[in-house]
Amino acid sequence: MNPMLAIGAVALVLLVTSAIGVYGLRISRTTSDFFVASRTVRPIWNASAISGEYLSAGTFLGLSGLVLLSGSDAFWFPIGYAAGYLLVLMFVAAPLRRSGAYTIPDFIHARLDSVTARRITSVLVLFIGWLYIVPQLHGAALALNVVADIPPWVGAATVAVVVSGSVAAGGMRSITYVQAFQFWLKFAALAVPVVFFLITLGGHEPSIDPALVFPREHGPSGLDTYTTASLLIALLLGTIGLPHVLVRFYTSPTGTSARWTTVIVIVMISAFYMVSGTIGLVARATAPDLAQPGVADTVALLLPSRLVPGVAGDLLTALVIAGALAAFLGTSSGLVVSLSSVVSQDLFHGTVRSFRWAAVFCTAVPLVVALGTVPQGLVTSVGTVFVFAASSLSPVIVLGIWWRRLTARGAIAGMLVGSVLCAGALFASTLLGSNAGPAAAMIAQPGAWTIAAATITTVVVSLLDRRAPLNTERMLSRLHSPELPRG
Amino acid sequence: MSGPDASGGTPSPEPRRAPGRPVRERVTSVDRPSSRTEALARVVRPPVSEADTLFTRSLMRAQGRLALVFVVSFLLAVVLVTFVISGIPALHDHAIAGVPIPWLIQAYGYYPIIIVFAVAYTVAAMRTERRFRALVEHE
Repeated sequence: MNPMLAIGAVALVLLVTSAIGVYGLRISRTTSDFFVASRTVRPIWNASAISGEYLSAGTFLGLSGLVLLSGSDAFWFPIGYAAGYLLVLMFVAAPLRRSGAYTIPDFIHARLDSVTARRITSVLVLFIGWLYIVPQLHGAALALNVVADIPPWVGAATVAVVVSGSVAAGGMRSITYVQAFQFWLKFAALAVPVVFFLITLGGHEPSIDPALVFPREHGPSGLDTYTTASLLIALLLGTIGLPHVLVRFYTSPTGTSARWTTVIVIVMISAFYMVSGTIGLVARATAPDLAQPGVADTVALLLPSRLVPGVAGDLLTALVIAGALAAFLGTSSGLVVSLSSVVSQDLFHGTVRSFRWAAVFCTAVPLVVALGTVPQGLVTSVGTVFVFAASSLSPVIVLGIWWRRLTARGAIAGMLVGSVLCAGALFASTLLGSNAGPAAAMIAQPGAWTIAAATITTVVVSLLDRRAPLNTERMLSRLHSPELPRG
Repeated sequence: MSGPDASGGTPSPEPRRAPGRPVRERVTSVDRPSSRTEALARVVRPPVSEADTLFTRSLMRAQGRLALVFVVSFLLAVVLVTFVISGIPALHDHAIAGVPIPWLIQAYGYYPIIIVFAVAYTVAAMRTERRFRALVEHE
């Protein structure tokens, strides 16, 4: 493999990203440009940007790695991520767009009229965002180390610096175009190699033994009902609670356009997941030697030079590393935009200046964490974030939109119960490992019961409390009334 | 500023707007009604009337029912497909290009279901909203 070519590809992506960012700096003139791109983004570009930000290291490198490592169970992750958007579409997309709020804490504050609920939401949003950025930086460290032999900390630090720099410079407006570009780059970076792989492999008589490569016990028939169901529920609901997903709807001009944008997103990410999954299947057939924890996640980067000989293989590797970099950059910058908005509005007065400093702060924290920890499987780390978001924020957001008797105390109780139970279970699972006995599956995949506990707590406390905010009717009417056609 | 405004005519309010692109909008957060917000237009807030409340309630109920019906039928579809690929061992003996059918279905089969449900829901939700809007305009 030619490291110069890989470094060249990395440099090119960084250059284009900052060029679009600088262009955005020229056209980002107002606070509204910074926070919602002044709502001038067309659905197709908005959808590309949402997809560009949603597809992270987890599915770019992690999915094929986990398919190789553990079999068809890995496919539940992308299925859950895509179906999560279906729930976003049905339960929150249009109402949240109409709420006029910009961040999740804004929404909770406006709906429940409680500063305490707002502060707790802000803390949870920050925590979720940081949890999500860490695997992106791990991915960057891993990928640059494999293709160009760059020390891991350099990879992580480079991504962090570029992200905080471009977010601080252009805000939402330039980030929208950066992320739209990154979606198409990511898609091409996996789709082109897949075409080459299929042509190469199609030429030969398949010499693989299906029973060995795709064994029954690692296929769908080996699934564990509780683990699968709990994971799927958490992934489905988790998307609603992700900070950077909701922010995106505020860049749509109306509730209806927010819905169509979501539909386009679902089509785009589904296409991407199918391509990424194909790499996993090809990897099982051609690279079983890479099926080791820690190495498996690099399979998407190593396959091109193994399967396609000569310069073509080197060029494909360069394309994949460019796409991987776009994945780390896209997701992290989307998260940093939303986290910075939360920090700058909660601690300062939502000015552009505070937004810029918040961007630096919000990237520095996860960078320190990433440098101090060892990467786990990328797709499972990202999955954990979804489980936590689904347990802490999603029940309250959904109830806030659809249930008029929700009270501030109910929401606070639900968020605390959900996040403490989920964090506790995940900690216990990491500490105990497989020694947890019969409860092992319950604490390794806590979504099913922590989400239920958070929802029940919210409902019961709200019913006992009975102090629904005075503006409930007006707020709900705003959330659910369709816009009149502009004219 | 070196904007291209040398045309001499009256300056148009949106000089840089490409056709088809939504109008630039100014926003601030909802919880500060004192600042120059979208809510400012609604500063003179009439009390929510009985009719409005009724309208919202029935619209919410209709939309909520629609979403629930779609989620439940989506989950049923997922459970069904999952049952087929995990519960019928004979399927595993068939393969396309070396990959057993259950693996293929799990890798590719769920996404079309998700997309179909997404499009169907969006169309249905728009129809509900249109119906309610017509109802209000008639009154």
